[in-house]
Formats: sequence, structure tokens, C-alpha cells
Amino acid sequence: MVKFTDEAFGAKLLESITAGLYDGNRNCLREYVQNCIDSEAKGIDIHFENSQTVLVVEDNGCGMDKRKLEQALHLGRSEKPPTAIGWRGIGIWSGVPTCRRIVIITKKRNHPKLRVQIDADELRQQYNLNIPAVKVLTDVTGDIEELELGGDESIEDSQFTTIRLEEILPNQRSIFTEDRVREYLSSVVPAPFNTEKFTLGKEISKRLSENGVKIKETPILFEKQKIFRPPYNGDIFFSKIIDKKFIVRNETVAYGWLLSSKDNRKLDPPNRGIYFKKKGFTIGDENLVSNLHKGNYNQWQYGEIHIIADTLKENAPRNNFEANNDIIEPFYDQVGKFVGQLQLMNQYQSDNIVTRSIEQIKKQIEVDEVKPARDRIIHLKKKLQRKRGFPKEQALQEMKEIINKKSVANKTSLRTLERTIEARMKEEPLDVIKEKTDRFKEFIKTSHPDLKKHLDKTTKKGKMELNIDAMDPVKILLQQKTGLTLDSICDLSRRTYGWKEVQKGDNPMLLLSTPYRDRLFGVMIYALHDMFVNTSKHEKGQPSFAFYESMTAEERLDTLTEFHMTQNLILRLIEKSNPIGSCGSSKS
Amino acid sequence: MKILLVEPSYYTRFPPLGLLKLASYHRSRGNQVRLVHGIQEDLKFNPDRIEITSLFTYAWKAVHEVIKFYRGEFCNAKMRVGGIYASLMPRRLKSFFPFIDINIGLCKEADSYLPAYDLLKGLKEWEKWDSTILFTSRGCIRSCPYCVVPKLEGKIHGVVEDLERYIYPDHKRIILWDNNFFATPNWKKILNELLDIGLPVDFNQGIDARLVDDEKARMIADLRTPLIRTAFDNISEKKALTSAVEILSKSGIRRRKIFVYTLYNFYSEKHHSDIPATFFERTKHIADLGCVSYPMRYEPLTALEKNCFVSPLWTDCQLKMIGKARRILGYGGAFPPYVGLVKKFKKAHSFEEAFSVYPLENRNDKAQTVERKQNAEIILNM
Repeated sequence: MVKFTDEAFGAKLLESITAGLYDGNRNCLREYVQNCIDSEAKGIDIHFENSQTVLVVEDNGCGMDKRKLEQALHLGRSEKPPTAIGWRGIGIWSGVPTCRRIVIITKKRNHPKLRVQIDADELRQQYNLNIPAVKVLTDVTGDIEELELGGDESIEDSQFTTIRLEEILPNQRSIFTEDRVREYLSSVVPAPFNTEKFTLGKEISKRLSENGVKIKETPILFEKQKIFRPPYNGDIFFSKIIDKKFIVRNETVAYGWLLSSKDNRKLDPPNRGIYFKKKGFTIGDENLVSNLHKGNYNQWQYGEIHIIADTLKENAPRNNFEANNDIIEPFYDQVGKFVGQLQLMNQYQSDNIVTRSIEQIKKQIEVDEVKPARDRIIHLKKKLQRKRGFPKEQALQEMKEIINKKSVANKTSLRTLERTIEARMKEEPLDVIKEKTDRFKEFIKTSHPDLKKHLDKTTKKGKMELNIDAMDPVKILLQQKTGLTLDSICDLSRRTYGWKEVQKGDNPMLLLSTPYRDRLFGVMIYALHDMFVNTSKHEKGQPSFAFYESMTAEERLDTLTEFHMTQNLILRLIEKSNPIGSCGSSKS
Repeated sequence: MKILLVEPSYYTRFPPLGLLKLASYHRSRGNQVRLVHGIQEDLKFNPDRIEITSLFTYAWKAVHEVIKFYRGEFCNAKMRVGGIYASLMPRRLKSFFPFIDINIGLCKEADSYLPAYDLLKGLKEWEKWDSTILFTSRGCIRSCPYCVVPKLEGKIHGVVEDLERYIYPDHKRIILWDNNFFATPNWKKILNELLDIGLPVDFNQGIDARLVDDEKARMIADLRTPLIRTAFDNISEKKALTSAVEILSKSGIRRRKIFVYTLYNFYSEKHHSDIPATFFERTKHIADLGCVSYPMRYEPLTALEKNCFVSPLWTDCQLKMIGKARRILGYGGAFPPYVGLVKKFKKAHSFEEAFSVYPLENRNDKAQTVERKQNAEIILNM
């Protein structure tokens, strides 16, 4: 017989026990919470200290005396009964990869307050030294010391255990943030539901206990806030709780409950996924369940599958179950098939429920996008004709009714919407062009007679275009009023009204009232005059006119109307103005 | 247990690092801690123990005040006093307060803990504190007679490696309190770590000009150092300082960012004492180098009153002159290399001429000073 001694177990073993098994170092939180619950704690308080450099897990459980504390430090041995949640005896050491030292302070009633410190730094450094594990463990674990009691503690009554992960390593600080710890705790530990926000929680808890699921739901405070387990919003689900028992060889090995999304779309975490739970703790993640089904799975459900059978044991990293029994395979098979049935239900729902599209169509109609809304309805109606069957799974049959009911309601809404759209389209079409053309024609009727003549010519032909000739009355009137030729008008107005150098002694062509207004008037006339005299600018494609060419028909009508209105105004102003010499005021 | 940590209300620019480490130490033992500044009535916290810190000996009154007050409030709580004053004058303290325990020197059990900076957020005096204070070493290779470090901390020894873990999350800069950073054997490793961390670093206790070389200067220049502090306490260090400034300047550090502390009023029977003439010479030299000089008045290690000690080689009037000159000619207590100031120092033939703000008030005083100066020279030449 080979006899093993302490020398036979090297320090490298410790690395695989502490660091290696716990992928994702937040897992140590689960270990500590398990220990708290096993110690019959009525409350657990987890908080950071000193700007998240220290993490403290405190419970008011039974605490430990010296013998128990020594046992708690043992590796891979546990005195806990197998019914306890933590039973592998690794718990306390699981914080080693995270911090500089782990401190345990504990007190049992009628026993002294004790403290022991594990130098995690030192332990990590010794992983690679080729020395016996026993020596390393002895080196890094301080003596158990008795602590003085404070004035508010009593030897008889005080009981608690505190685990402190002190000086969290810089490379772990991004994992141990407030948000990430809260997210981890709420998804892993047996926290209660927030029944205020998730009213179905009460009924679910009732069903769980009726079905033999025992969870020690312990109030857990993290940073002074209660931790709740998801889901956090009941409104996104159908209110029907789907029950499912998993029975292997006539024994119920697990009980699951699920809620299904009202909406045909992937749910968002944390309100998404189906999780295995054992004694309230999550085993693995949502992929562990969904991967049991071969093929696509749309994440439209939230649910928990609670393991009841003692024979189904979680593995050490708590990311799966141990495979060394004959239940696991048939159980996994059942779960996989069930997930497959859920997928079929999702398909059925997708074929029959179009609530979200209906909401979108309503919005389109509100903003007058009537035509696209109509097209969408046509598409939806086609979609609703597609009929894939509902899964046979007994647990889901009630859902079929719910989906069908919803489908009928959807179809009714669609018909109502269709009618609304039809009514809208029958209403006199909003012909903006016609309205604007009418407005232009109305204007022509009241315009200056000389302008009217020109504009009538084009509009009678049905053209709604700028009429260059309509500038002629302005030219003619200007010539009449000033007695100048067109060229000299241009020349004079340019000089007089100041768009180039104004020659001294040049008088304005026409007088309106004060010199300042005359000047503005002149600039206006020139601008208009220039535009029409220089006819080459009006040819298509010239940059100066490109703005007009690139307009929509509606905008063009606006511009056309405004332009001729301005022309009309100028014509009338010129008519009202005085030829030079008839009024002396502006001569200065 | 409940532990009350008391920082007496003396003036200081730095939070009580020792108390903050003690706070972490106590928390690690499951104790509840509370930090207060000075006298705080109506605490609603019934401590089992009270830990009080102290600073310079001349700030003893504030320490005595809090001891009296908290003893009155919590007569059953155990009380312990530590810090510089307590370490240098334990007997004096004990004679006033026989009931206290005294911690002399460093509190070894607490020294390696990350200070509980979070407690500062609760004090209005320190709520905006945003710097991590670090010692990468303790002690010093020198044994300057005017310095308390060799007496309290002894020879140089490294205390911290792997700096990153000591940098408090959210802190914006690092203040190194090493007494003589470049004398630490692993200065290079630490500088490299500091460069990696990337926060601005203040070598708060100054660097030893005698140890500056090209490599060190280059590395310092790469750090985001707000200013470089060094000292010129003895005229014999002139060559070393000049060379250090040249090297630093060559590495790209602006001379105006070099802050040189100049000790004055130091007197010792056994060691080289300081006289106004050499103080003037040092100040002038710093100005010539284009650096800022910052006069530091010597206080005996156990002075109970600040600014009372007058070296036999100085007159009270001369000491006051420096004070006045710092206020009127200088800026923030320092003499920056203003062109006018550099010229004034250059033109001056004597200490008095250099530091007088007004013409000297009476000849008698001047005559007296000259006489004292001559005496001093005689003594020094003996």
C-alpha cells in the first residue's frame, strides 16, 4: 500500500482548488452567501468599504466557536450535512484570487469573538513553489485570535460571522463594482421576488412550496438595498404561469415555472432566460438550459427550473450538474425537449400575434402615413394566414387558448384599422398643387392690369411657370416715369442706389418719400430689374436660377406666386412714385 | 468595538494618514470606526477606544485640548496617542495625562493597510481630498542634524512594492512621502510603475539633488510632476544643486518648476550652523539658476512654540526680515526668479541689502547686525 503524507500534496493543487474552479471570481459571493444561509442567518448584509476596496459579507447566523472555525478553514472537507447548501468545504478559500487578505470574524453565543486572517497574497505567490500544500496553508493562515468585546456586545447573546475580502486587487476592481456585484447577487442567490413590481411573484412562491421546492429566501441587503431576484417587470409577460414537472422514473426531479413574453421579441436581461436552481441558488447560466435544445431558440420566456431530487448534484464550480448518476441524462433530455416545445410555441405566437405591428400602424396613421400603413396591413394579413401547429406539450396547452384569444383581438384591431385607412383615403385627397394653383389664379385676378395681361397669357395656356415677359410693364412704366432708356436706367440705378460706387450728383430715378426709403426702393427695383434684364440667367441650369429649377412643384408654385406678387407690388409702387423734379425733398 | 479616531484641529495641509491606516486596521478587526476633526460635541457614538494623532511638537495645544475633551466625554474609553509629538515627547504628554497610552514611532500593525480615505468624505476639512499618499520607503540615507527622520524612522528601507494596489480608486494624483526617494534601492522599478499608472506624482518631500543623474531626470520629466522639490540647506551642496538643476533642465523640466527649500536659522554646536550670509548666498544662487527658492525656518525638534527659536548666529530682526521679504518681494512665501528679484540679489552686497524691503530703520540695529555677523564668522572659523 502506498502511504501518502503531507509531502504528497503540493502547493499547485491549491491553485486549482481556489482559482481554477471558480471561473469568474464573483463566484466567491455565492460561497459566502451559502455559508450565511447554512448558519441559519435571518439576514445577510453585503457592502463595500473604503471605495470598493473591501467587500464585507455579514450575517447574523449562529457563528462559530474555535473548533468550527478551524473546520471551516479545512479544505475539501466539510462537517456540514449534505442537506446544507455548501458542503464541499471550499467556501472560505474562494476569495483568494480576489483580494490581498481574507478575514473571518465570528462569534457564537457564549463563546469568545474570534478572528482569523488568510494572507491571500502570499498564497497566490506560493502556488508555484514546489512545496507541500500543508506548509503553504499553515504559512498563510494566521492564528485564531480572540477579540475584545465592545460595550455593545455581550458574550451571551452576540452571534454573527463576517467575511472581509480586504484590498481587492486592482485587476479585480472592474469585476467587483457595485453594479456588477448587485447583478451577480440578484441572478444567483435565493433572493425573494420584488412582489410590488412583479405581482405574480407571490403566486409563484406559493406554487414552488406546494411543489416541494424548499428555498431559504433570506433577506439580503447589498449596499443598504434589498436584493430581489428577477423578473422585475411582470407587464411584459402573459399573466399565465406555465408549470412544468420533470419526472424521471416516477420521481419528480424538478419543478419549473415559466412566463412567456406578450411581445414577439427577444426579452432583455435580466428578465430573460430559463435557469436551473438548486436550493434557490442558480446553477450555470441561461445557456445551460437553452443549449439542451438542438436548434434555434428565441428567448421569449423567463423561468426557473428548481431541482428537487437530492441525487442531482451541482458540480464544484456550480456551472453544471455532476454527470455521475443515471437521472441526469433523461432529465436533460426532457428539458431539451421542453425547450423545443417552447420554440414551437414561439413560432405559433409569431404566426398569430401581431400586437407590436398594430401599435406601429396606429402610430403611422396618427402621423398621416396612410399609404405605408395600408401596405403594412396587407403584409400582416398575408402573414396571419400562415399556420404552423401548436406544440403538443401538455404544460403549454393553456397558452394556446391565450394566444388564440389574443390573435382574434389582433385581427379585430386590424380590421378596424383597415376601415379607418379606407375612410381616410376616401376623404377628398389633399391636393396641395390644386390649392396653390387656385391661389395663384386668384392673385392674378386682383393684380395690376398691365401685369395681369401678361400673366393671363401664360396661365390660359395652363402653364404655371415664371413669365419673363411679365417684367415688361415694369420696364415700360420705369421708362415712362423717368424718360430714360433701359440702358441708362440700369446704369443710373446701379450708380444711384449704391450697389457699386455711387457717383456724386446722381439723382435717384424715382422718388418715393424720404431719401432713405428711396434708396431701399431703388435697390429693390434694381434687383428685380437686373434679374429680368439679364435674361441669360433664366436659362435652365444657370447657377443663379438653379434654386428655382430644383424646387418641387409645390415649392415652385409658392415661389412663382410670391415672385409675381412682389413684381406686382413694385409695379404699383413705381406707379405711385414721383418722377424726379416733381418733389424737391430728396434732392439733397 | 467602537473606535473613535481624533485628528486634533491644528493646521495641516495633509489628512491624518496614520489615523486612516489605523481605521482600516480596526475595521479589519470587525470594529466600527468614526473619524472626527478636533472637538466634536454630541457625537452619538460611544467609543470603546479613542485613538488620537499628533503632529509637530509646537502644535501640542490642539492635542492636549482633544485629550481633555474626549476624556471628559468618554471617561471609560481607552485612549492612545501617537504621531510625531507623542513620539518625540512621550514623557511630557504622559506627565499631563497619565491615563493615556502612547504609541512611539510607526504603528507597525496598521502601517501596511490601505488608508480608509472614505472617512475623509465625512469631514468638511477633507471632503475634497483626492490624492493618494504613499511611502515607498521609510528612513533616509542621510543623517542631517536638523531632521527628525533618522530619529523616528532610522536608515532607509523599502516598504511598498506593487504600487498600483495602494492607489485609491478615484484618486487623481499621487503624493510620495518618501524622505529620500532616489536613495531607495528600487527607485527605478517604482518610477516605472508610476509611469505606467499615469497619474501626476508629487515628490512631496523633495528629491536629493546630490543623487540626480541623467536617467533619473529623464524619468521624472516623463511623469506628470507638478513641480520638482529639492533642497539647498548647506552651502557645501552648491555644486550638487547646480549640476542637478542643469541635468533636470536638460531633460526638459522648466527651471521655474524647480522648487528649492532653503533652511535658515539652524544652529548646532556639533554641526555646521547656518548664518545669514550663507543663506543669502544660497538664495542668490537659486535665483541665478532660474529656480524658485523657498526659505524654511529651522525649528528645534522639540520646539513647543513656533517661530520662537533664534539661532545665536541670527538676530530676531534678520529672521523677521526674511518673513517680510517673503511676503512683499516674493510670492506665496517663495522667491521666484523674477527679473527684478534676481537683479536685486545680484546687486546686494549683504544679507541686509538683499532682503530689506525698506531702507534699514536705524543704524544701531545695522551696526549690531554687522557685529553679530562678525562674531558668527569668528565662531565658524574656529
